[in-house]
Amino acid sequence: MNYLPGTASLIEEIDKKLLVVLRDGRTLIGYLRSIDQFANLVLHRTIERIHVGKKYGDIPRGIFIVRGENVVLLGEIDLENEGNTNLEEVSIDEILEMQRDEQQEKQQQEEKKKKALMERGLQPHTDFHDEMY
Amino acid sequence: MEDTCIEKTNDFPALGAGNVNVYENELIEAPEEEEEFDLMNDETFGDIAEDVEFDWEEEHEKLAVDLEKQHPINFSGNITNDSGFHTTEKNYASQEEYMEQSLSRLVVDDEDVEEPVGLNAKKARSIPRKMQSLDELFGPASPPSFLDTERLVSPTAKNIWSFTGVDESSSAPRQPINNLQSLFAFAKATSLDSPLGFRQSSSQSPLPLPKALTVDEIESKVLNQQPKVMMAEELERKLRGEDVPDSISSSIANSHLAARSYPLRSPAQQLFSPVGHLGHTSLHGLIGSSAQPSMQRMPPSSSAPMVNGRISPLVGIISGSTPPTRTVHRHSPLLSANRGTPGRGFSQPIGIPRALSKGSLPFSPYSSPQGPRIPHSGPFTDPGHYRNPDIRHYSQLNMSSNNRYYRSPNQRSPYHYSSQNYKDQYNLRNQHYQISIKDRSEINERGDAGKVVDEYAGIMTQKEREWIIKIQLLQLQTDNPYLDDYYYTTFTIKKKARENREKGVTEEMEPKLVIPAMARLESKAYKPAHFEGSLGRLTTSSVHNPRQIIDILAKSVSQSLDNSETETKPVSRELRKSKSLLLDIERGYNLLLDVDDIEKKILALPEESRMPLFEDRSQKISQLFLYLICDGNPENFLQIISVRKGRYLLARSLPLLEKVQGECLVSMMCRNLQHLIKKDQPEEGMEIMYDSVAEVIKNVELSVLVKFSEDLLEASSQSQTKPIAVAIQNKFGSSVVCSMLHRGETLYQKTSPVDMDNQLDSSWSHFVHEFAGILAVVPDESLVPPICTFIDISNHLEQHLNKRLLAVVEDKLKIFTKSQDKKTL
Repeated sequence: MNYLPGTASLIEEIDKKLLVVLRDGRTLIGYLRSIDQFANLVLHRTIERIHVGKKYGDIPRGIFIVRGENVVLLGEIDLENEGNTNLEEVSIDEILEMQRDEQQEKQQQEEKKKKALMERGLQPHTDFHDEMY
Repeated sequence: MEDTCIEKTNDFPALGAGNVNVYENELIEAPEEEEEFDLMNDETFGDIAEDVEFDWEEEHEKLAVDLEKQHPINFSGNITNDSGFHTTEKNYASQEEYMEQSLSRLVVDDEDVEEPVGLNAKKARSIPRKMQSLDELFGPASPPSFLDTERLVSPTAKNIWSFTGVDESSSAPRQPINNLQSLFAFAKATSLDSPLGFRQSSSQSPLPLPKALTVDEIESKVLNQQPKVMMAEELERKLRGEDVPDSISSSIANSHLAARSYPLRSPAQQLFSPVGHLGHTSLHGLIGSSAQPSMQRMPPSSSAPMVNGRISPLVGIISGSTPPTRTVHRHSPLLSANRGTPGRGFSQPIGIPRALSKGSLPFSPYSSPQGPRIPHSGPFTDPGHYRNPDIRHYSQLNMSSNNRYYRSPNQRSPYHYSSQNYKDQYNLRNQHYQISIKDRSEINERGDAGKVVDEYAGIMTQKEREWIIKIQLLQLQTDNPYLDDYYYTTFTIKKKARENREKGVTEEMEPKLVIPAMARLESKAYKPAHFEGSLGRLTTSSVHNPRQIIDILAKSVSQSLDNSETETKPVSRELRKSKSLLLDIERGYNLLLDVDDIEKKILALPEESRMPLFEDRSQKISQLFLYLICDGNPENFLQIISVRKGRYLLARSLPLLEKVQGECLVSMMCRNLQHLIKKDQPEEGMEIMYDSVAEVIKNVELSVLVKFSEDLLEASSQSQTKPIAVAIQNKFGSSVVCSMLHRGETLYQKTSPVDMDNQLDSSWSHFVHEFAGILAVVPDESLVPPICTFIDISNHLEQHLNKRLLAVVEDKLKIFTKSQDKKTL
């Protein structure tokens, strides 16, 4: 398959509905309107989608400008099969609540791990990365 | 740093007592960064204002207030007190005032210029517009202006994209001023340092701005430019030489100037500057005035921003003498004047502040006393764009420093190029350009076909897309792949050659890479100017002459020094010996690589100019031969061959050498085969040389072949074992013997027995007999099959040997005629 070098390949994605995963773990879905050579993106009609388990919630965000370096992953959304997922949509509040819970749980787990490591005389990694920064 | 400064000043109040207070005050009052600048500026430029209590900032604000009221041209008192460095760099609050002042100054200047009536009329026409937006423009603080836009292009509005209503109310009336404003923004920006390279134009640069609002702004702006009709129309008009309506022409300028990249120190500052989105005055008015009579009136020593910042623009504008809103791209005396004048700012060397170099535009706001920075070329570039409506799309929606790309590498402005030139340049530089256009349109079709209804589709225009593709392709462009990507290039060439060989392409079709630039590049060799008695070297660095960080010459000198040092040290003699041997072999490689380079160059040259290079090449090759032959000293030769590096050198050199030279080397090898075999290693041993040696043997005459055989037989050996016996127990040896026999057979087949030289014939027969005799003696197990086997060897032996001997060796001969694997020829 032939493709253009560098970010020029993104030109093919313009005006298509894309899912973009950012470096901080956020997932955006929107129409790509413009790009430049740094893969800076302009997303239109953007929603931020939060997945927790099998459930997800969408937060409308409007227009989103993403600095290219923050893009981890980007892909076109299959508009025909968009709804055919086995995921369940829930309200924003719900999903945020679930996200919080998940994070708390994770943190607790991490804490436990840390404690366990300490008990065994191991120095746990101090540079603990929270997924949401 | 500041701490030490405070300490210093406190500890030694006697030193520069007058300044201490100033420092202290500023240190206490000013935020960190600014005071550092203060100190540094004062250190650098001296405290010009000697008064102890002189607070220039305060002073300045007062003056600025005055400026609002009166028309204080005789403001020169401050000029002497304040060099302009402080103000331009730090006093953000007064930036707008400066702008106003400079504006009006320019306006006044402009007025003085004797100009065609038509132009004046045009100026007059634009007045009301400016009046309309003055409040927004020159309001006390800029942030409101930012908010203005918010109001005008509300993000909450249902359809932000519909530009018709919004646009007319917001951008259209303001457009005329935009240019000048941005120019001033530029002037200001030159004195601000931004490593981030934020764009000034808040209206069009989405990135630096933290608010979502800006997005809307961009969108509206983009849409503003969106309708193709307008651009085409405008183009057409231009072609017909008609007057371009102000709204259109200014929108063009708007799109450029506002979109220019002006470095700022922080995004916050952007809020302060009304420039990007509110500026409104014609570019021409500014440049024209600065380039023209203002020069005579201004003292050449004063620094530009200050000078320009004397008069409130309100005066000029309100009084009806506005900067002219002219269409620059046609009747502009300025452009032609600037282009026609040699030694103008545009073409002057980097590194000389424009403000300082005479003949440039000493009073233009570009010539900031800070000296030239990259953005200097900014506004200068603009007119170029301005004249090329085709290119303006590139700056329409710039998300980052896109536009910089279009500046020529040496900071000169494309101003010099006519629109056609400009295009040509790019076409020339990038042959992919045409392809990319095709690609893109295909993409576009595909993309558009898939959409059902997307009213916002196509916000990114074709031109913009092309531009991105072009930029990406340009990065892949290389003048000399051997230089930029040597390993990949050679890898692909080798791979190709291997493929060819495997495909059975009998002809050794080594693919050659022709680099047209190679021939040119040579003449470009840059020699830095060296002055007698000077310590350093004056160099200008560019893409083609990158700054030399390591001096290879100096390094090699120090290396040789090291060598002489190690000589005295009692280092292990073995190590030293091998090291010097490797270095010695390196000399051979240098010659080899030189030959390679010359060959590459020859490929790129037209036939008629190749001659000198051919001579060069043969000279190098004979040097290489002389190096390899080591004055016929077998000791040195053996040493070289005993190292893998040396073996590779020989293998690579043999095909290059003249036939006689190659034969000479092979003969030497044959003579010393026994020694060589003794030192042979299982890994990458002698075998690596086989292909080259076989190639030589394949092409020799019988006389030479006989000489080889004699060399082989006569090889001086202290041991009892005959050289051939040694040879056939070694992979390389047996391979060489094998190919010699093969060559003998071919030669015998070609020449009739009548023509055969009797002496040679008998010598060769002797060799064959010797070979057969030894073969008969050597046990089967110790025989080593050659790399390449030849069936016709048995025929050859049949010719020369009697039946009895043949019967003895027949079985053993199979090892030479029938390959264990596939390699039988």
